[in-house]
Amino acid sequence: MKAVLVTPLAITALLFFAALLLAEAAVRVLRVPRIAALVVAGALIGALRRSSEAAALMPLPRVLLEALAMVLLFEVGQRVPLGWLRRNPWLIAASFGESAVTFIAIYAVLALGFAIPLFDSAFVAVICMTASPIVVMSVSKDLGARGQVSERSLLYCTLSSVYAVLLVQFFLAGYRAAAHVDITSVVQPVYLLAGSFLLGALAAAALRLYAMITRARGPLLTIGIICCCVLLYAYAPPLALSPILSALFFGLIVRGTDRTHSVLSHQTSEIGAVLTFAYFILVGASLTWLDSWTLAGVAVAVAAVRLLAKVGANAAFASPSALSAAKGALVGIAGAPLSSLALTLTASVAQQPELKHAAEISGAVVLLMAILGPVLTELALRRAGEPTRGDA
Amino acid sequence: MTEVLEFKPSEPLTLGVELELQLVDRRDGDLTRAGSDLLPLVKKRHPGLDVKLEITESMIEVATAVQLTHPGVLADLRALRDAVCAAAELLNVGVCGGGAHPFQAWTERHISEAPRQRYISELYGYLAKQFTVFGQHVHIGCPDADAAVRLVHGLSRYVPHFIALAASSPFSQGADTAFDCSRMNTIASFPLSGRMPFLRNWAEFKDYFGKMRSTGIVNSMKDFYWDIRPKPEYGTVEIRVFDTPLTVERAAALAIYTQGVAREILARSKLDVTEDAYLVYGFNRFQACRFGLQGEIVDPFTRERRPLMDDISATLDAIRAHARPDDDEALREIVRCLEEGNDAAWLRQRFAETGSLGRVVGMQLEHFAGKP
Repeated sequence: MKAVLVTPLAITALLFFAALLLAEAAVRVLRVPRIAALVVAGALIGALRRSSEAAALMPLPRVLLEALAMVLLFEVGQRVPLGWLRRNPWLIAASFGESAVTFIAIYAVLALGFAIPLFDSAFVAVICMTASPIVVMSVSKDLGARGQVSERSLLYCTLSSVYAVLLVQFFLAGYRAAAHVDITSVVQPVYLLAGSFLLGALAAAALRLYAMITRARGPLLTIGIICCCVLLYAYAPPLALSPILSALFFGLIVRGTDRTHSVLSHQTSEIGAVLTFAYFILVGASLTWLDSWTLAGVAVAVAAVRLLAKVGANAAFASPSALSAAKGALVGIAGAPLSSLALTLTASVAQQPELKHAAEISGAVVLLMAILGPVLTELALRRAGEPTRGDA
Repeated sequence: MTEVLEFKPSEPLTLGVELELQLVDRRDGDLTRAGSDLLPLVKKRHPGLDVKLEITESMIEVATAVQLTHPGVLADLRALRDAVCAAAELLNVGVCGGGAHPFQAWTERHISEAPRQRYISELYGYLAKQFTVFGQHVHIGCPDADAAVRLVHGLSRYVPHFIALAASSPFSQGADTAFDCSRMNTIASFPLSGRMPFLRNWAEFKDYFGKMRSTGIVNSMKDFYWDIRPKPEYGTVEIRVFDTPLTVERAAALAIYTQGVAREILARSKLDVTEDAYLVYGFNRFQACRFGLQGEIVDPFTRERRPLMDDISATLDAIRAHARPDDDEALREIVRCLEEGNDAAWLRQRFAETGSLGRVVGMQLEHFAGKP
């Protein structure tokens, strides 16, 4: 009888159910941001999964998490306005500036402050230079936020993600080639970028064909989008391409080519909400709890320096990019979260045994900012007065 | 704070045009919160331009300098449009005309921080957020206070003309309202909206204002949301029934049309309108809002009913007889409106073509920016 009741599927469903209950209770009673509550609830059931014999039957959520991230990254890509970069080129400078300042600040504090080896410091700095556009988008949607802080933080998070994916590939290729830069280390990121773009373009063409033939709207269109994202997720790794970039490019190209707004006007609505909820619980469940106070100290220092660097850089670049310094600082705070992208990059770094320490530090910072990040994003958006729902 | 009603005379028939403009998100066409970010940019680049934040963060108001001619008004409006659109592009925000946003949810609006807007929000509650509608205000210069009262009553007969020619708010809260101008229905919710009482001269007006102020209901002229009101501090009469047109060219043409009507009224030496003129005011106004240029109006004195379009055509002929040569372009724009339909018709046509209100807003942005 026990074998019939305690199955991996049942345990998975029960843990998800428990996490949702826990998160919603926290939202209502403690008034914490929903995304942060989902991540914490996910982290708790993740800990339970690891410590309980029965829960250990639950299948590893990694594949599901990454597949969900693909769909959400498509939506991020669809929201990023590339035309804005053309109209206001200072945004690109600001984005580069933010990423560069963040990288240098983290690298300096690790290499100089904690005497971490240079390669480890560089990998941690690249991973933490990024930020989660999925979290920013989800918090913005949850609050119905509209304005410069939500728009810019989403844009900068997306761009920093692209930089980080390319830089990690560049560093890894260089690292594998005996820590020196050769032709492979240069060609690999270019192939990654161009190939991922092409794959995204193919998916966009497939979606357009599907939408044209079926005249799909609502749930039918959402299913089409999910299918394309899963296909990207399936085909990108065997081709040595980035699933993250291909999903982003997929969304960007759909936005850029959808002249009739048939896809742009589409709202994933309930299905989108389901995906978002599941995604953040799985992010929480994938986090690794800290087992060392030293590691916790380093993570807190990196997270603090990272936040200061983002705030400072965004405030400094605000005026030339047509924003007040105060709003610029809020953009930096809103762009604090780390999530699945950082987890994926950490996992790719962890595959190098010599970089285990870098992966541990990165994992610890991700843990911190996956929980605190959504809170900071919500605070920044509220401070900017951008929410249109809730207590706005 | 109370004000002393001293009418400052101004050069007769001078014009000032104010446009309330929509700030929209370029991604989906919905209204966005951008006013307080946009204004400092515009003021920094063009310190001389008159650009203000309106009641919600999704609205701004631009105003021309005092002008007398069509080229002057049009040049000012184009300079304002270009300055605001260029600054908005840096923020990825769209700027457009139109009397109402077609699908915004009023509950999502954010009242701006200015003390006057906060006062309105506290007094009127949800009406303040529903006041996210966009109008064109035309000021006509008056030589003295009695002339201003005379002009208010004289212009009231033409209110249906102004509404029908400018109508550009057929959609509201995501639906076709069946009105060409739905914006006026929103304003009608305010207790001090409608028409000015029948006061014969400035002395009677001051007496009325004093009584109203003593009740505590009003503090200043701004508390009257009348269709047409005197504006003593500017020495003008302000006509407030126009929806913001979709282009600045249409806005300038409407100002010149109004100036033409006012020229004829100010030429009269005394008030020749009785209170009976207002017998059909509400009916005629409704016809213009509901049916636009296809409406019918009733003459309060002959009791005759006639198509509004015929009345406008006859008025145009009368205006042409006294028009300046540089009014030609503006009057041609009015004729184009009569022949091709008002902006409400343009919006309905675009929606019929695309089936998407978001896409219609995208086309409004291009239309307002003067892109073909």
